[in-house]
Amino acid sequence: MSPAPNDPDLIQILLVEDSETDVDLLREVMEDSRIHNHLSVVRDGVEAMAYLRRQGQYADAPRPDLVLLDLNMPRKDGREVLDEMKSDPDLLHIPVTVLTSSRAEQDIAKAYARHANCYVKKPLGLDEFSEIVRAVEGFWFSVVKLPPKG
Amino acid sequence: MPDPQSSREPIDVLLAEDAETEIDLVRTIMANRDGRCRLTVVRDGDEMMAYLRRQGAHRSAVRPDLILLDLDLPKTDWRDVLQQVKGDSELCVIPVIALSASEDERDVIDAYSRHANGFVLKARQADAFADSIRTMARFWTSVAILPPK
Repeated sequence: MSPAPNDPDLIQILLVEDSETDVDLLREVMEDSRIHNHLSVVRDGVEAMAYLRRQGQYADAPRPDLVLLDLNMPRKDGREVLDEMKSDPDLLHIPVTVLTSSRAEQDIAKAYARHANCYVKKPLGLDEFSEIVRAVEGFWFSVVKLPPKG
Repeated sequence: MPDPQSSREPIDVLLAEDAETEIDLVRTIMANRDGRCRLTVVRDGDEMMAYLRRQGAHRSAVRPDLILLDLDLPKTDWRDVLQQVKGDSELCVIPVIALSASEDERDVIDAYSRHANGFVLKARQADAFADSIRTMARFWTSVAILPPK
C-alpha cells in the first residue's frame, strides 16, 4: 500500500511537467528510491500555482519540500512559475530544481536570475535519467537542510 | 557514478570561511575533484564582496561559478551579504550555498527566502562534514548546470 500522501515524514516532491514520458520516467525512478517520498504531478504552470496556493481541487495539497520544474509547458511556463513563486512570501523559500531539456545559455542564466535553486539537464536514456535523479536526490535530501514544514 | 559531464571546464569555487580546519577540509576535497574545482578563500563578508566586485587587491579576481558562504563569519551579517549578491543584477545568478553550524529553523527559512541556493548543515564530526562537502562538490561539478560565465 502506498503511504498516505500527508504523512509528515514523507518527502513531498512536486513535479511540474507536461511530457507523459518524462512523468512516467520520474515516477518509476522515485518508486525505487530509498527516500520515503510522495510525488505529486501537475501538467503546467497554472496547475502548479493552484497546487502551491492550495486552490480548488488542491485545497488539501501538502506543501512540497522540493519542486522539480520543467521550463517549456503550455498555458504558463516554468519561467512564469519561478517568477510567481519567488516573489510570493509564502512560497519563495521552497527550493526549485529546474529540470529541462534546454541547455540554451540564456535559459540557464535566466533561471538562476529568477532564483531557481539549481538547474539540471534532462538526459535522454532511462539509465542516465535515473542517475541524474539519484544525484538530485542525494544533494537535496541527504546533504541539504530543507526549510521546515509548516 | 560515471560523470555525465566529465568534459566540463573546471569550476571556480569561492569559499567564504574563517575557520582554518574547515578551510583545509574543503581545500582537500576540492583538490581531489581531479582539478575540476579551483578554490579561492575569503575570510569575511567585506572581502567576499570586494572579491566579487573586483575591488582593491581583487582587481583580477575570476568570477566564481559557485559560492560557499559560512553564516558565522567575523564582522559580517550574512543576511546583508546574501542580499548584496542576490540583489545584484550580475552576481545574482551565481549559486550560493549557505554553510551553517546552527540548525535554527529561522535561519534556514531566512537563507532560502533570501535566495540562497542551498543550505548545508556543518556536521560536528569532520567525517560527516567532509561527506556533505564531497557530495555537494560532485553535484555542482557534474550534475547541476551552472550559469554561463
